[in-house]
Amino acid sequence: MTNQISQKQLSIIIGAGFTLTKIYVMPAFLSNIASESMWLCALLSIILDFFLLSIVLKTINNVNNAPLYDVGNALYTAPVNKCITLLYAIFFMVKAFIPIVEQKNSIELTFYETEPSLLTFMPFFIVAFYVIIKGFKPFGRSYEMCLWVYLFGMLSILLLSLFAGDYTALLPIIGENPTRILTGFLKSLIWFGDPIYILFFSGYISNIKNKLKGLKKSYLIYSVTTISLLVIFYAVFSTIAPRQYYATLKMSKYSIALSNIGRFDYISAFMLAAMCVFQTCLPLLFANLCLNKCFNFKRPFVAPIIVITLEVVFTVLLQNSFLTTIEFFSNYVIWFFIIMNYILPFIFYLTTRRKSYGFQAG
Amino acid sequence: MVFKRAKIYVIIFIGLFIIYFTQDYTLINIEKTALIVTLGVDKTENGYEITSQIAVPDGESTKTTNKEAVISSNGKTLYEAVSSISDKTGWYPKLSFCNLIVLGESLKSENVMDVLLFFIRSYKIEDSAIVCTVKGQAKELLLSSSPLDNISGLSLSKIFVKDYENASRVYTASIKDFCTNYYSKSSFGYMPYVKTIPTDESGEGGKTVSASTTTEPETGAQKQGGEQQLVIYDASTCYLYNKGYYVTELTSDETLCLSLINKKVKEAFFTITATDNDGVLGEYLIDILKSTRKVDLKIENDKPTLYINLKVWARVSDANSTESMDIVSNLGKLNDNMKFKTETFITNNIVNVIDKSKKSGSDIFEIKNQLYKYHTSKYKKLNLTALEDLQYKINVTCLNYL
Repeated sequence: MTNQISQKQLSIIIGAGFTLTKIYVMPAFLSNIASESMWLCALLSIILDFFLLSIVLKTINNVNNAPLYDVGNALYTAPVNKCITLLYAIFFMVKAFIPIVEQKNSIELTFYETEPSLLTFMPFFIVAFYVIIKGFKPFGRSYEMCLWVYLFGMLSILLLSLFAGDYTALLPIIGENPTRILTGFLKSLIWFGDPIYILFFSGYISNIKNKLKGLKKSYLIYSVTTISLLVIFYAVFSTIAPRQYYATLKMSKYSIALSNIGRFDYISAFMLAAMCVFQTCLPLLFANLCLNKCFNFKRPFVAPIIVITLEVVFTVLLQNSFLTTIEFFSNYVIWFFIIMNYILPFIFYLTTRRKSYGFQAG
Repeated sequence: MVFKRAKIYVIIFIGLFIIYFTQDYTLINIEKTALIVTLGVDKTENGYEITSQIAVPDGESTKTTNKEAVISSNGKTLYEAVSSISDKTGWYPKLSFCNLIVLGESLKSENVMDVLLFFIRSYKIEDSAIVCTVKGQAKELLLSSSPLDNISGLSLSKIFVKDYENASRVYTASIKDFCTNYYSKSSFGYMPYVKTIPTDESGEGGKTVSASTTTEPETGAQKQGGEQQLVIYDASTCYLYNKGYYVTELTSDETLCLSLINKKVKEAFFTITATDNDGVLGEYLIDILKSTRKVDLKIENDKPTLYINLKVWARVSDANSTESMDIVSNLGKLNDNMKFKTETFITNNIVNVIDKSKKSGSDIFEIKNQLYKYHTSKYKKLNLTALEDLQYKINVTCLNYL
């Protein structure tokens, strides 16, 4: 099968890509809820996601790396399987909306002096359309090539910001009101649940080694990077952190080194923004996959056109009320996210564990 | 079919090329842009008067020099005042290059956060800009002319050296610092207080500020006949704030000693009166080259107690008397009397700062923040009277820097 992704590329997606969707709005959102304990909310979500990843890896091993849709056909009736697949197509489109608008706003605020036209961001959708049509293999390769870009961007931002913060701002660790940590954890789940993507790669992974256990090491790297980023973010901004949406890319500007050399941190910000394009395309890839499986379109560009058109419409309509949309998502749509990200994969894992169906590897 | 598809691709490519490569839909011509480098804010009866010192990109000149210009505008809010720059001049104001915010003395009785919040509300303004307050009007200061730089705002910026960790005499604060401290449990603030010091020289030709875009009144520093007296700036004193309101001022020496406690000072000078090895009284310039500090807040008898342990490494840099070869050859080694006087000087100034902080309510030592961070369970009980009940123990040790 040519449309396959390697285990190494999956590791890069987990280790590098998972962090990228959490650097824009989430740090300020969590600071608003849990102040100095904001990083604990993320830590709880990361622990939950680790369990999800373990379940996902076991499921892939249970089904012998067979395509998920085929497994669904064997386990359930065809209409039920189609309904679940369609539901996931919708879910991935909804899940993609937040990173897309975050990406758009971040680029506009970081790289433009004045408010640019909406047209400025539209090429993203052309790139996304191309990425979706090309499938997993070029996607994985692109990620692999961009790893150094990511490493340079992320490390330089972390290192430059490292000494610009006051780490005592993170005290007291739990604070006066521990319930706000749980509230933050629950509401921030709209940014988490990324291991679900790995489940949908089932059937498209080549050369599985050691039952994909290496992916857990990548997950550890992702966890450390994300928590470090959040800790540094709060140390830098402390009490005004709730106001600092999209500030993570720019938080290294307080480094004394930059005031002498100049704002070369923009290069790092640009690198990370470029990497975010691929990560933002990931849910769109799966929305396309689910739609194609569900409706079996004869022409390859029909599903991508549907996916991209819907995202463009969402972006245009909701771009000016993004923070209200985030609030709506974290209060109400969150339950849809929990069901699709955690409950259904768990049920799926239980059903695949019970019997051996003798699935054929993808 | 293939030919038809190719035609569609070509049409799409040309369409995108026209839209994106012309860039006409989004950019503002740079010659219509006012790059504000310094912003002065004064309180007026009807709101605020802002004075913007702008660097105008000159498209006609082959050199990359900037003309200097000062624009004043008024508004009920700061945003309105900034916006009116484009209404008045046709220049589109850009604040992302603004590195210095100067607040006039008219804001002394106001909550300065009313002004500073504007800078963290907008994403288009850098909150890393340094904020200071000036004697008199901010507008007056920005119209003054300095021998240090053509643009007064830039010459003022030179005082707030970028590597401010090492600049002990100026206690610099950025907008972010001020806002962060304001929203903390201590709700305090500080910023340098700038005074202009006239020099004997007068500005000529290019040195004279051209306020061509407005009809500016002649300022105090201006002489008759268009000549303007050149000034330099002193920012060694510091204003303290409580909940956004000015409460007290620290002297130059007190500011220096506050730096010794809160910053990693690598160079600081002050003068003491002490006796040399022969018992002769004289004035000595002490140079502190290194310092380490430990500040702890403990609760003793239900009262917050501040422990300040400061260790400084110093040498004699200069004296107003002829020294024996013994002192000169020992690289300015301090004798016991000099060490004692140095320790006393620092201790007294720290005590003064603590007393001013207690009296004014400006929690410059972040007692309430520390109570919340390290004694969370007692925070509610001690928070309200934390400053009044504050006890302190200061231990300063002076060592020779050899």
